[in-house]
Amino acid sequence: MSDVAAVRNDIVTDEMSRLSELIWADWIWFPEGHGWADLKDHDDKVFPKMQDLWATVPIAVCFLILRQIFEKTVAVPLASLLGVSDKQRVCAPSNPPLESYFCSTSKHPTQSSIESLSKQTGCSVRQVQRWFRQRRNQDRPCKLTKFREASWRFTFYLGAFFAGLAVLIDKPWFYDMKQMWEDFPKMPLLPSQYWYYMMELGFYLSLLFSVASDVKRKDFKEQIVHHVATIVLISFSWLVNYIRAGTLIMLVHDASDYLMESAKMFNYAGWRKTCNLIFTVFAAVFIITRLVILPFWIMYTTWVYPLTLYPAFFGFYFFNGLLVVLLILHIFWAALIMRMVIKFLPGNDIVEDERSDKEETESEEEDNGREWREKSKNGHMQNGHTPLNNNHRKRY
Amino acid sequence: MSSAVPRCTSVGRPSAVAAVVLLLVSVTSVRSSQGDKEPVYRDCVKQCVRTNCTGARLRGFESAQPQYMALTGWTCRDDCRYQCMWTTVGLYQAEGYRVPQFHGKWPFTRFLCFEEPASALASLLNGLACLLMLLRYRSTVPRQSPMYHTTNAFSLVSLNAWFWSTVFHTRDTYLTEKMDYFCATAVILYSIYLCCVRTLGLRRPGVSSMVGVLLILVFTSHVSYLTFVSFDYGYNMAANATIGMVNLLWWLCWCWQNRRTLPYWWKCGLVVMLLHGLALLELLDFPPMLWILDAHAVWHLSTIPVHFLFYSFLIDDSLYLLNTEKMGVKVE
Repeated sequence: MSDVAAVRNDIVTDEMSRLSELIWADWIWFPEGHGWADLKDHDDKVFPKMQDLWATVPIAVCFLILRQIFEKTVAVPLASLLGVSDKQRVCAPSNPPLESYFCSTSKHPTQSSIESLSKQTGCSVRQVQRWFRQRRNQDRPCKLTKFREASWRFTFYLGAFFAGLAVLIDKPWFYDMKQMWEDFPKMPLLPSQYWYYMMELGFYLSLLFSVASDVKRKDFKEQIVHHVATIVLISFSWLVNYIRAGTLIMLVHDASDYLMESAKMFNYAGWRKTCNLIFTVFAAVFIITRLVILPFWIMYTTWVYPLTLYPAFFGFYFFNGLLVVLLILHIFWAALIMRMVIKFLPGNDIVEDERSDKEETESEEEDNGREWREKSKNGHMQNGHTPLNNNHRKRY
Repeated sequence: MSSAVPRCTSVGRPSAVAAVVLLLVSVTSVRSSQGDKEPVYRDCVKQCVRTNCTGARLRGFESAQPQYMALTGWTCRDDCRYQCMWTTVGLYQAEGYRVPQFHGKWPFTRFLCFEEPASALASLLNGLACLLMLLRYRSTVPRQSPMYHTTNAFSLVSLNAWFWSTVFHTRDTYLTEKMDYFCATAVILYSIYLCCVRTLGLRRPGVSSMVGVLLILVFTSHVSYLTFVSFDYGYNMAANATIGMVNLLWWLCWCWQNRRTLPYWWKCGLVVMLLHGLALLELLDFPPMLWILDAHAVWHLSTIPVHFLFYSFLIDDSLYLLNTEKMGVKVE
């Protein structure tokens, strides 16, 4: 009996090793004439290895801890300094049948459900609607929570941007991007690149860990896709030594992030004009870095230029494919950003974080009916901030 | 695959071991200080236990207690002690007296299940720094370097000590206290061994083996004395200070001798000076600031950057050794 099992075991391990040989084959991940052997450490030169990625786990844990400390010691005093205040919320009165419906079935009951609930509880339809609106508002994160999260991200992105600048400022490929392929794939790993990569990866890993408890926004799913794509892209570029390209791409992305987070901070604090100004600067930097520099300079050097040096290989398509995924996400976000910028050009004074769930107010109930009829007449999106807006965006 | 031979099990022994471990984990330390000798405190605890920790109230307490508190061994009696400690501290302060210690420790604000949250956090961060730099060492230094395996082992001993330190500061019991103290001694002794290997053992492996055996003997007798004869804090402090001195002087002498040949010698010197200088913080004994930060926590927090410098030195040294080995130069 045991012999058969042993033989079966051998066959399985054989299959597994053949499969992993296939997956990690030289011809898939490297251009012709190169392979994993080029990345073996030798002489004084150190090269990136898969085991190095383990270092991101303690860094992620460190970031999670640092974030808690930062939020409690820096963000909260800063919030009160800037004047972040929360509107007093009316708590929905206790109503067990409505509560159980809210928790188990849906937070947005349909008109027929509202009518049946109204019959069940003996309250009028309007009362039931108001109860659900107040109950939904209760669950929304308050401004202080959102401010704390934004200030933590601001601090990290600011530090990461300047760290990236420090890492790249003395490198020739910062000024002449084609140099990123110089001596590829045998470029030795510099300590600054190691730490820059590990910090970024550790941070995104910590974001992924804390996404469960962070403020949930309307583009929550896109955020998860972004984080996972970023982590996969950074890890992949580490393994096959696209580190020079990787550092440039990360710098380009970090260039605009801290502006967005600081705009959010001022938004929560109520400093409208500052928020609008910073947001406009952010929009400009975002579009220049992610829609101009990224595709036309960086992706050109990673897509078009290498084909003049080597024939295409799978890893090449994979790497550029992931960059295209990121580019599509950037176009989506650029559209959202442009919509917001247009909103607060002179004339329209209202600014909210487009991605956030806005608190529903009393007056919207009356406008609700009117605007819905107007919309169906005109057939295009209005500038309204009704719950209909939220539903529309949820479709993404 | 299945074997017909019945497995030999001795049911009695594993459960006895489990019972002993459980006992060690739950028994809190029996040190006694001014605070817990105070009649007010004792009466308060007695009263609290009588009313809250019996019968229906006890069941109510246990069902209301969060899971993480129950899992870290916080009993109803411990909760009573904690509440009464603050009552007593309040009384002392109202009367204008200085804050007393309780069971050999200052009063700390509990955070979740953590008895000494600042020290626990600092130990955790130290452990993470050590782990991070171990991974950095392993990714930068090839296996063939002469000091590779010894340094790896040193890191593991270090990590173990920081783990037990974190556990001890979370929950002070008989077992966790012993583990923290013994593992800390182990780190200093292994550091001496590391120094010996680096200074003498590369040329004469026999010497470092003998020193290793000697250190193991020292460790065993130290632990045996503290466990089976008497756990004397004064002796423990003196013993650790002595081996700390040996460690300091050995490293310092070696790196001073090599100051001209090794460009990174200053890292080693600075690390040992910092570690021992910062350890003097332990001698300061003040009630915790904001009831969170005491001298011990400050000491642990201040040693976090030292890990980075020490491992930077180890990486430089290991790479240097590898290069000189290749060039065929005899290593000093």
